Amino acid sequence: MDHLMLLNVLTSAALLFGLFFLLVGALGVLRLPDVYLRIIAASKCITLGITGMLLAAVFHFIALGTSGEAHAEGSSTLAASTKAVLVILFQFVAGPVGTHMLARSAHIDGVKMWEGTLSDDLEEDLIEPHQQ
Amino acid sequence: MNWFLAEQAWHQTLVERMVEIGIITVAAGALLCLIRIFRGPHLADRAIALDTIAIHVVALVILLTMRINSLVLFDGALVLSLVGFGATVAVAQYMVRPHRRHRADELPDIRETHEPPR
Repeated sequence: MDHLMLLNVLTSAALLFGLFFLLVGALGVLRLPDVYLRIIAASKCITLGITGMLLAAVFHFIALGTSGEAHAEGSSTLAASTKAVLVILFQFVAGPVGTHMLARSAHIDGVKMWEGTLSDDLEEDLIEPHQQ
Repeated sequence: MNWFLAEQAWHQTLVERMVEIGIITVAAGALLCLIRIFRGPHLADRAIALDTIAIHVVALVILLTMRINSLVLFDGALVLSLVGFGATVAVAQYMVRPHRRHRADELPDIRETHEPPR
């Protein structure tokens, strides 16, 4: 029963990690002053938040499988763990790609930056071919 | 034999309380993003808020599988993450499309600047 306690504590820790990043991401999307800063907050939320939640689910179902209480209808713990790792890998690849595309599209569409922003390198890169 | 009816250990109670607190927290986060969807001045604000809501719905599905101790809903997390990424990419392409034609007119033609293939 000792490893069961360890798995449950790991589940709670991963759940706390994921919930912290999800709530901070939502607060950042609501409160930050700029499109680009909101995209940064949402990107943290996408990768780290969903990683914490899926790790918590994997630990929870491993704990259920070892304690003999698993009601795994249709799939096993191993299949669920494989799917969770697939979702984590997909989010780590697709989340930055999607948010980067969205930020570049917003910049091309002419969204103004926050007045505290120090530099705008994409604008220089977009203007440069016309001057040559 | 009646160890089902015995009192739970403290760590199992901890996990159950954490899942309940997590459902409330994730629902509150989705509501915050919904406020940004109503308030957002630009389309990109609404798109990124919608992407964040999709992530929160994935988290809600995972919390629901942990709550009911069943794996039948676990495929929904995979499908919803795929759909959220597709929605973000579609909105990004939709925003950049009217600008792409003007930039293509101003830039030199690719077929003239490069050597033709032999």
